[in-house]
Amino acid sequence: MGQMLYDVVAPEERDTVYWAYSHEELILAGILLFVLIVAGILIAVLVKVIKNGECKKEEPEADAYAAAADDQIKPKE
Amino acid sequence: MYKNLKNAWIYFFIHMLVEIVCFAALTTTYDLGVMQAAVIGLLYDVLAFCPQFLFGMLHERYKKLDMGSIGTVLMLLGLIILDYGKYGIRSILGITLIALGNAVIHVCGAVSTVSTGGGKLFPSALFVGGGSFGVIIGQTLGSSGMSKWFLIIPVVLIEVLILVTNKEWLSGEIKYPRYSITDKSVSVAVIVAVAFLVTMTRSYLGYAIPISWKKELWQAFLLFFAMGIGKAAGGWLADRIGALKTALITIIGSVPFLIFGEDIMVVSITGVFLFSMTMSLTFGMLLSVMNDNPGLAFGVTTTALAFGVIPKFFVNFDKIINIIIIVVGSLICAVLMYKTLRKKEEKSDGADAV
Repeated sequence: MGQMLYDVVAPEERDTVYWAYSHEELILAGILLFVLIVAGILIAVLVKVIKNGECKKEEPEADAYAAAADDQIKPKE
Repeated sequence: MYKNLKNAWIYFFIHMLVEIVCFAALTTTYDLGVMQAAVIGLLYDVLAFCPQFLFGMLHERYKKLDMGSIGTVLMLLGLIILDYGKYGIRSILGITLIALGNAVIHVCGAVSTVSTGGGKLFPSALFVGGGSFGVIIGQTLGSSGMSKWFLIIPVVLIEVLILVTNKEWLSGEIKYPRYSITDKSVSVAVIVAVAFLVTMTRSYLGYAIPISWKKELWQAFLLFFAMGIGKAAGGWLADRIGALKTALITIIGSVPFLIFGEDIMVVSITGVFLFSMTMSLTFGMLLSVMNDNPGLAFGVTTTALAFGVIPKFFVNFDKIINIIIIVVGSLICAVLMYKTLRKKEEKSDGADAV
């Protein structure tokens, strides 16, 4: 489509208008846009997973703290 | 040490067959013109590598879904649509479907080899290594002028092998083993960032390696076979001497061979072999912090691989700059791996699988 537009545009205008790009260049631009979108989604997913991972990492310490607190509360036999 | 390598070997061959189909199809488009080949090549790289983390998450969500067969169907459809050796909308659509099918099968292979790997890196590394063999065989077939319909044979074989492996792991209860090759004092975010950066840098460096000796077909085969064996050997060595030692030996050790092997095949092959050995380590790093997300972990590495490849489509440096990039890039990777990989080796086998 880019090439078709290119063909109908007057030669003197081709350097100044956006469709002065070839069909292939437009696809390349689309691919790079796709890469940017994928990168954005990946960052969002990783932030979520990392937060979960960090929470899991802290769980054992929290459990140990809770267990120690339980021991203190328990009446001595 | 390895309880069950049958699944990994089958996925080694599946990966090889997948790359044969993909690169046979791609190679027929390389003579069409620089811009057209760039469009097809970049489209393939981006679609085959970038969305794998999404398919990986889908696999984790629906564990019993036969993703491998879905990938095979996508590849078959792509092959039927593909206008073999010609450039146009049919070829772009065909390559799109083939690339997506490739991505789905890759994720399936990664999750399968992790879940049956008993906490070892070698099964996944073996699966990854199969791709290099497929690339050069596919390129050779693609440039031979054969009909695209011959590629139906490897596609059928892929599906048969996937159905065989499904009996091994998909039909039973799926458990992901625990990996722990990273330093526990380092935060998860830093490990993920380092694994991504190192994979991306190594991916870019792969295209910067100066090679002038590759003139004959058998030399190309030798180069790609060295890559494949190196990728598998990296996982094997890491299971034996530890990920940190493997990373430092292979990253630092490969540099002189890569730099001084431009005209000397044996030296260069040794460098490429060592260079390829780091491939499974970054995957292992991500598995260590994403134990329940092997599909996502694998997808992160493949997205990083794609990001490392993209610059080669737009910039091309001369030999001296490439050598500087290899040296500096390798040193940065070695330091980052040293800071994030576990120093003290512990046993990480199937015993701690959950």
